This record gives sequence, C-alpha cells and structure tokens, in this order.
Amino acid sequence: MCTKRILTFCYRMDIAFSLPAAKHQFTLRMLPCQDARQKIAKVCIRLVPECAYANGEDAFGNQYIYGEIVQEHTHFGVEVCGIAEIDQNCLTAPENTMAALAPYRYPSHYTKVGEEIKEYYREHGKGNTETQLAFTERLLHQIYQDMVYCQGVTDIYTTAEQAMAGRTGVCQDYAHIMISLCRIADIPSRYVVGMMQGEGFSHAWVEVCIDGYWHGMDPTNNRVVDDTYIKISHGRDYQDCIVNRGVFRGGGEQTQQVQVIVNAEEGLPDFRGVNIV
Amino acid sequence: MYEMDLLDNTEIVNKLLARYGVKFGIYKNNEFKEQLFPFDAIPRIIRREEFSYLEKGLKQRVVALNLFLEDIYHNKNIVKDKIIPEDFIFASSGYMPECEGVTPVKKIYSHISGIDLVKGKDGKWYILEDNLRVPSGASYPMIARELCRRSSPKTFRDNSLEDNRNYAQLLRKTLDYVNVGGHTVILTPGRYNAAYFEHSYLAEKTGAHLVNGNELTVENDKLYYVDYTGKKERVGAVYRRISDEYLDPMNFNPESVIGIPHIYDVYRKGNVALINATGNGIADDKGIYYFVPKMIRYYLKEEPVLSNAPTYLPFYKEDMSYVLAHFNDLVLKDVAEAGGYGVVFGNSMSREQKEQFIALLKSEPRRFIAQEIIDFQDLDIQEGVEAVARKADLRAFVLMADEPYVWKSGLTRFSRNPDSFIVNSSQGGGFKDTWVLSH
Repeated sequence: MCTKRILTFCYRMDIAFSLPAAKHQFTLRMLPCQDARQKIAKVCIRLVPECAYANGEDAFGNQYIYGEIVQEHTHFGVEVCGIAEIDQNCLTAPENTMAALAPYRYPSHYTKVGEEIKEYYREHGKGNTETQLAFTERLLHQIYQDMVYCQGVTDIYTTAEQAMAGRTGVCQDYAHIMISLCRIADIPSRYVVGMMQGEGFSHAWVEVCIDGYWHGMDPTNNRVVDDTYIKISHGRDYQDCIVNRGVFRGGGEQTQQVQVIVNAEEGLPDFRGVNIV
Repeated sequence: MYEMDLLDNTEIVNKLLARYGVKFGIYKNNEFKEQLFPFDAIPRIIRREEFSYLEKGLKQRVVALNLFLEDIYHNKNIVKDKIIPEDFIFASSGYMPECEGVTPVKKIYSHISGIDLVKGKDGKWYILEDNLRVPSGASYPMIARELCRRSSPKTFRDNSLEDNRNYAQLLRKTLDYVNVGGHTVILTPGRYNAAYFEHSYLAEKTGAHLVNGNELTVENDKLYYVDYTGKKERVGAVYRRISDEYLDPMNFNPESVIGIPHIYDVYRKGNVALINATGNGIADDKGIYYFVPKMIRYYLKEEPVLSNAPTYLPFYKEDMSYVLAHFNDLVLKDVAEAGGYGVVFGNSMSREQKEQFIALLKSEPRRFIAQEIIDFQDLDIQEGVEAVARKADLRAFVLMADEPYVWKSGLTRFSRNPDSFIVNSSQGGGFKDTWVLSH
C-alpha cells in the first residue's frame, strides 16, 4: 500500500545586525534528514550574502553546512526549500541498538531530573502493566493538559526541571519535560527539530524508541507525529539540534526572523516561487 | 650521591625559576593569584631496574586505555561483554557523545598521558590516577634539571643518570607522528592559564609555534595559521592546551572565546590532528579508574603489572557495606572533581559531617569512590638547614607514537604541610626533580 505523502517545504531564517558583522562563522542544522520514514526528493539552499560552504555530519547523524562570511554584512539570510516524501508506515529503526541508543537513555544537560520532575513522575509515571507505547501516549496528553503554552516565560536556557516547576513553556520545554520523564521510565528518547504543516515556525518534538522503532510524539500539540511533520535533526536535547550557531566580529544587536511553510501537494508538486537547483 | 652545592644553591635556583615564570595561577574566590611552584633540590632517585618495572606497567596501562577509548567511541564491546556497567560510561560527565564514531589520526587518543603513582612504605608502587586530557608538568623537572646542572656541575658529572632534557624531542616526535601535513603548533589559552610557563617552554624547546585561538582559522575544510602579515599556512597537528569544552564554540561551549570555530569539523574529517584527542575524559574518570586493571585483562589478555590503590565502588552493594563499615579508614573522592578538590578523609569528619556525607553517598552512590589510605613513603625535603619528611607522589609521562615510550624522569610533587596527603600544585605543593639512574 502506498501511503506516501508529498510535502513541499521552505524554511527561511533572516538575521538583521544593527552594526556590520564580519568574519561570521556559521554552522546550520537546517537540512531535513533522510531516513526510512522521510525521503528528500529535492533540496535547494540559498545563503545571503552568497558564500562557499562545506557539508558535515555530526555524531548523531545530522547533516549540517558550515562556512564563513568574511566581508562586512548587516543581513544574514538562509533559505532551505525542497520536496519531502513521508511514509508514516515506515518508522526508522536505530542501526546498532546499544551504541546508537546510549546517548538517549541518560539525562543530558537540559533533561536532568530534579525534584519537580521526580514528583511529576511519581504521579504520572509508567504503570507496571502499561505498555511503553500506551505510557508515552498517555504522557503526551498529560503534559499537554498540565502545561500552559506561553512564549516569553522560558528561554533557550530553561531546563526541563525549571519549566516543570513553572508549568509553562514553549515546544522546547514540552519536549525536554517529556524526554526527561521517558528516560526515567527507561525508554530511550530524543529531541527532534523539524517543521510541520500549519505551524509557520520551526518546531520541536520528541522521538521515543519502542520495540526497535522511533515513534514521534508532539506534546505541544497533543498528538502523535503523523505525515505532516518533516524532521530536520535529533539529539540528546536542544543543545545538539541548534539550528544556527554563529560567531562573528561586531554585529551590535541582532534580530532574528524565521518563516516556515509546509504544504501538502496532491499529485505532482507545483513549485510556486521556489527555485530548485 | 649529590654534592652539597646542589642543595646550597636551592634558593638561587628558585629565584631563577620565578624569573622564568615557573608559577601556578590559582583562582580562589574569583580572584586570580599567581603563586610560585617551590622547588626542592633533593631529588627523588629511582634505580634503573625499578624504573624498567614501572616502564613496563605504565606502557601496558596506556596501551589499554587507548584501546578502551577507541572501543567506547565505536563498538563498545567492553560494555556489551559486561566488563564495565554501562552507567559508568554513559552517565559519566567524561563521556562525550559528540565523539561517537570519530576516529583520531592513527587511532591514538592519548598521545601524552600523565600517570600519577605513589610508593607505599612496603616498597610497592600504586597507581593513583590517570590523566589523559591535558596533563601538565613535564616542563618543571626539565627546567629544574637545566638549572641544577649549572648550579652543581659536579653532581651531574659524577652520577650516571638519564638526561631528562630529551623530553622536547620525544614530544616533537609524538606530535609529528600524527601530523597530517603542515605545521605543528601548541595552542595556549594565554598567559593567565595556570600552566602558561609550560606552554611557552615546550614551544621554545620543541620548535613548534605557540599560538592563541585567534591565530588559527578554518578555511576550505583545513586549518591554517595566520601570521602577522595575514599569510596563511596549513597546520597539520595541534597540541592543544585547552580543554575539550572550550576548543570550538561551534561544536562545544558556544561561549568560548579562546577556541577555534569549526576546528572540530575539520578534525572529524581527518584534516588535522588534535593532541590529545577529544573525549578522553571518559578514561580518566575516577569511577573508570577502578576498571583499568579489568581493561588490561580484557584488551591485552595480560595481568596488570602495576596495581591500583585498593578501591571500592559504593555503586556495588557489597562495596557500599564495606565503605560504611570502614568509613574512618578510607578516603572518599568525588568522581567529577579534579586537582585535589572533592577529596575527603573519613577520619577527619565531624559526626555531623559524616552523617551528611553518608546520606549523600547513599543517594548518589555512582558519584563517589572510596580508597584505602595508602601509607606512602615520605621523601625528604629541605626546610632551612634540616631535612624533613613529607608525602610525595610521582607523575610519570607516557608518550604514544608508533609505540609507547615512558619518559625517564617525571614530576615528583610533595605536600608542604606535614599532615597533608594532598600534593597537587593547585593546593600549594612543591616539586622535585626525578632522577632515573642509568646503570
């Protein structure tokens, strides 16, 4: 049975500098990944100012590009567009179980277990007869119910423990909390960055490894990941998936804007305004 | 054995050492203080046969530790075969998932290893800890020897001892062995680092460039040294004296201003060698120390030549009961700490402290190791005109190129406080030259 869904995507990030920046070193983890569930049929990368870049693959298997813009610039723009084919019936299996799962089974910086997380787990932890899948699905609904989605309360430094204490946060916090709890229950789990239809912004969710396959869970939206999600990268937590890392001279204040468009295409994809290379 | 002028000139030697900048920078209460690293002229003397025995054991240990690092960041057989419980690897702060699958040039992880030993009153040597990240200290006996040879030429004419000034050539050979093409440089965080004297001294003696992070740049997937005219020259090997965390703001701590953006990307592709490799912290973790003899048996199918100090892991139930029953006879170490910090002696705690500590131990058993207090041999140091006995250890240096080599000297550190067992330089101890007799 062919259940492939074709999605077109366009991920655009713009950074405006109040003063000229130069010697700008960048690493971008913005390329959708290729795995059993997701094939990238076409991808086009555009950098402004234009510059040469190299490709790399990190220890978690994420593809990234990196380079340097030497000259002065007040704007840095990146656009990654293309076509993804998603087959939700084909989940991804880790290659070599222990080696591949090790980093996802122990607390990492953002997912350290403190009193708040422990207390929450005591209340909502995995039941003895409950299956791992049933537990993670229940947990995602529970987190959705107990948390208040609110921007500006937490920031990129907020840990799962801190977000749990305030019961507020954004997708990054929801994901960290869920990862922290799943790891207590001995379920390998990892942080995922990607895009989804109808979101408009980049998104973060969770993958749990159950019975040899990675299952996507989105506590922020109270749903199991389906074929409207395009995955970019994964890691132990936020730190491993930072979309844009940069070091530069000057630059003053910077303001960042992100725009993500994901469209489902019936039949052949039609690219309006997207240049395919 | 030695002439009296060797001892009489101690003060002059110490003055010269201070002038050369043989100092230790210490951060205490957020204040940076430089303090001299006092030299004591009475050498530690190791007989030739005794040193060959140490050599054999040290080589064996470092070879096994290198195999362990390669295994942990690739196949993990030692965990699969249940020699080491996986908690000790993956929950350790020394384990770096960023190093998974990355193979350093010629599979060497620990090019320069500093292994700390003590000699017990029973005459037996024990390994205290392995330092496989950026062990420092070789430069101190090198320069002390140089100055002592001048202050007491006759001592060195009349005694047959190994010349330790060859360390620079050995180090250079080790660095060049993994160089993938281009210059060999020594990367320093700068003059406020505790070991800056050593960085500059080793650069001078090996002929390698001494560079700061901002003099290196990545371009076209390669690393370059940029000189003052802006000219770029390829770098093939970096003896980096900064820790993994600060090495590359694009891959590790983003706040680092002393690192080189993208150096790790280039390293991962094999386009530059880093000495030592990244991720070595997992092998010199105090919790992993317990397993080193098991590693030697596992990888080399040999019995360890040198013993560990008797160590207990409260992580294991039977060890925990032993530790609780013999609390006063043991020294407890926090596995996450270094430099003599996080070390407590069971017999020096008040009742209240002890209760608190035991509660902590029970809640985080993985965090501590317990060791028998070794009654180690004292060495004489000069105090005024008298000689007094003090605790001392030995840091031996093992260099790994085509084969392991043990430097025929070492850094002997001593505690100046008569009651203290802690000899770390960062705790205000002093040092001695280490003589290895050549016949």
